[in-house]
Amino acid sequence: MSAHPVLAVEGIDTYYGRSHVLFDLSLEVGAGETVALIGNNGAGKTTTLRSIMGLTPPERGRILFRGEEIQGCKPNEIRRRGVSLVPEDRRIFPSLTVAENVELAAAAGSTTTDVYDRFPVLDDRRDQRAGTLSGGEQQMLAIARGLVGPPTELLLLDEPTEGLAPQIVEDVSEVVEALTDDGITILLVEQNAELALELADRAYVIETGRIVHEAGGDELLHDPEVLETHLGVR
Amino acid sequence: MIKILDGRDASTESERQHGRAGTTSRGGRSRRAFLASAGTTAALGVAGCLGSGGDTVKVGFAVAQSGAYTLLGESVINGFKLRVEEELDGQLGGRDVEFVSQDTEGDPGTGSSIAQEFITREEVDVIVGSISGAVASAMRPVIEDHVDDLVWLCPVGIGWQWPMDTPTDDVSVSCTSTQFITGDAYYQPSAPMADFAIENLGDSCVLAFADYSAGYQYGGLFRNRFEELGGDIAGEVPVPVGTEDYKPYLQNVDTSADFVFGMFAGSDAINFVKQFHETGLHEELDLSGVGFLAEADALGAQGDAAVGTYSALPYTPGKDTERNQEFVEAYQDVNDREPNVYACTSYDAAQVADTAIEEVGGTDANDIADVIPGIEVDSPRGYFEMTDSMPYHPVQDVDIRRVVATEGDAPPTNEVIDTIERVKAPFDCA
Amino acid sequence: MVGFEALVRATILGLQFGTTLALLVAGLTLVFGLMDVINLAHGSLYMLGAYFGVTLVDAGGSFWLALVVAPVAVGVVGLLMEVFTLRPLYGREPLYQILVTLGLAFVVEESVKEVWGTSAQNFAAPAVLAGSIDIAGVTYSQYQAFVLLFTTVLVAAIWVGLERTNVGVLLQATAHDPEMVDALGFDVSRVFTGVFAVSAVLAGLAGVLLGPARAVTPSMWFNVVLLAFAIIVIGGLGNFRGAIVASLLVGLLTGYAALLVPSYTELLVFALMAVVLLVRPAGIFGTATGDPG
Repeated sequence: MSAHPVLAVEGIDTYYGRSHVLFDLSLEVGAGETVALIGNNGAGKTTTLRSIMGLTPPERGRILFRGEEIQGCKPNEIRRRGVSLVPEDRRIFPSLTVAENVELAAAAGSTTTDVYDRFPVLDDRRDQRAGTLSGGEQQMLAIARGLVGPPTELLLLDEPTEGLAPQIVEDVSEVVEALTDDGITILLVEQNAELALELADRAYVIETGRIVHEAGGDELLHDPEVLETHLGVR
Repeated sequence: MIKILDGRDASTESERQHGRAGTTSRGGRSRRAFLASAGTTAALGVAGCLGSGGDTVKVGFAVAQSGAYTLLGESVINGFKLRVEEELDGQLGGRDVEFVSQDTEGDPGTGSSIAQEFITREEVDVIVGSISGAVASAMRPVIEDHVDDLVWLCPVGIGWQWPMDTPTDDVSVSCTSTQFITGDAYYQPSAPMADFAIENLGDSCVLAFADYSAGYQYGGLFRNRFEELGGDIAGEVPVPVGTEDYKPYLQNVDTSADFVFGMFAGSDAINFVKQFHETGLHEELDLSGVGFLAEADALGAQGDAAVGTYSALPYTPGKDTERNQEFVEAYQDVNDREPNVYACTSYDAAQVADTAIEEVGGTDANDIADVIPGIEVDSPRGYFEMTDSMPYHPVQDVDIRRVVATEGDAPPTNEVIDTIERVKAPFDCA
Repeated sequence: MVGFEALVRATILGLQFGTTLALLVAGLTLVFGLMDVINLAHGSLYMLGAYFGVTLVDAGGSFWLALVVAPVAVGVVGLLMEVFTLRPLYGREPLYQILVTLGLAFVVEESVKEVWGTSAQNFAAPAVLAGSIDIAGVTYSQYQAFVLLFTTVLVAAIWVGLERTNVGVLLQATAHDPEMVDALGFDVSRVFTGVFAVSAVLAGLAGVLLGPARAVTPSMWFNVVLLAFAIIVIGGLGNFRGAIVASLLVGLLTGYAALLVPSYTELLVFALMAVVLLVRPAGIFGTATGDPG
């Protein structure tokens, strides 16, 4: 099994209704790697994660998790196999308390990792309604929720720093690094290319639904052409 | 069997009108079959020159066949067909009958377009319907434009409205020269109860009624008669049609009165009677009402809650006459259930049509309208005669019934305890 | 002038009517809240509960047996409805679900006519509850008091269960964002089926409980759906607490209106719905935000 990458996306085509969003898209994430997927708004980053998670299944191509095809599976089956999504906009349950959010997610599986050790900020707010948390706290809760329940081998992180203050962005980065240190494989979608490339071992650049570039994180970070043409960074 | 095409058989007018009381339907049928085959040769001889198309009678049922009035619509169709198919060899006035039917869904708009379609496309000679008074009101102007073309028989819905609180003598109603009511004309199931109640139930009454035009009209006719006889209306309790929970309304019943007069029909009658009982009001006041309040169809569902309810209606399925038993048995044979009042009034509509078409020797609407007034009908409810002036309706006896429990599991039944004779609605045409 | 006593009586009757309504809308609002399906066949499930009650009691079973068996049978019908007719339509426009559930309502009506006929049916309340009791000047049959108590306890239990239990938390989360719940590892389609079946059980229960006091006819579903729909609009579509409060509100409104202006009772209920839609389109307890995108 170790011969397989944790995740292999092979030539998928994904549609929203009639609009064709991903074109013959392929990527791989090896065990323990942190891989970033960067690109402009609307390039197809979120759709890629949704395809992997089974939320918007591809119409063609294969998605292999630890060598097994999962592209026809329902999201709950994919989650139970070990893929976990921390979605864009966090999508925590605002009317439930922090503890209820965590317990609900934990109830889907057996992992009883004490997430409150990892996220002490949540520990103080267990009985607070999730909707009343700050943006950074909500993001921590969303990540915490993604780590409990069925054992998580691959974490799909969608824009974890979006809309957060710089200080908080730093906190989130630290969490991501800590997760990597714990051996969790991460596929990270970020608009903040600089941050993403700092965190990632490797990165893919996506443009209008196609992978247009692949390289080590450092390499991309110092490639002025990539920065300018694909990420609009000067 | 070969049908006689020119429509005359040998039975005489008096046999038609009186001969069948006493004979069983089976006997009537075989005699008719004999006469029919005896006449075949002669009939075939002239069939060629008379033509056949114009000699059939086309009858259109414009009745509800879905929704709350489903059972009523079916009863009307079954009652009419019982007379035609089982007792008249599929004929009216000796002419073959063709039936068409459409579901009004209890909707006035639908009723009006069905009437239109029956007249212009189907070219019916007779319209039977509707069930709801509102549908009948909508059909009236359409039919009125074609009074020369067809006859309108109304076993149930009539299509009359008059302002609330009109004194009975001042009530004037819409009349159509070819409309013949064979059921009740609002007055018969309501006002006669006042005559009975003032003698037997007391002189103080609470009026509870379905809050729509028919509720006010039946209720008003009772009230007018009751007050005329010296009674006092202690309170009025209107309840919206289709109410499921009557208890909030029943709180308004003044329990110091002697009795309640209820005007509800169909499932409203069932809910009202059940909940009247459930709230214990039956221990303090007698319950009376229009006949529909404790109609045969409702009694099964009302169960013991209905026991002791007084009601007035020209027809009672349990009526102990030979003519009625014959009708009830025949109806049960074919339809597997007891007839209700609408089955009876529709059966009588077929009798009226049969007699009139035979007498006229055709289906000309105006000719028929000339002969129907004053004819006497041997109905399962007892003899009645059609009024000789508009609005044409039966002058008939009205049964005062009381619901009594039966032995065993069978639902309670109506017992006729009094009869108010020869009741005619004192209405003028508008 | 209306006396104090009359007002008290109207209040009690109104609350009693309101609890009945709460039982009728509880399942409807759960289904809408979770699945975004306006189940126009909800009244039909209620009707089936009453008819199953008729048959079970007629067949010699006791009322109590019917109270258990009939709702379960209705639950099975609901389960089949969800799996075979609704499941293929999730994610489509709501119009599809409205059409299919309306179609189901007619199918049930016609089937009921075939099986039980068109005339009204009856089944009796249990004989042990035949007596009557007085509460604050209102005479109740013991059966009625039993229904009131049973319904109050049941609705309260559902309310508390939704707030306090794990299943309740799962349902709240699913109502808010079913896709996310699925991505957390819960089979949401099973949750949907389960909730629809439970909703059917509740409707069936209402049918058996209210059957003895009402006309059991093939068209009894219609008024129920109409009123229940008005109530969930008033309460905020899919909001359970809102629906329960709206039920009591409509019950009270009916109680007072029946006392003071009986002819306008129905008008007032639907006028309340119209006013709520104009002033607070999301319903009294509804929130405009928080819906999953």
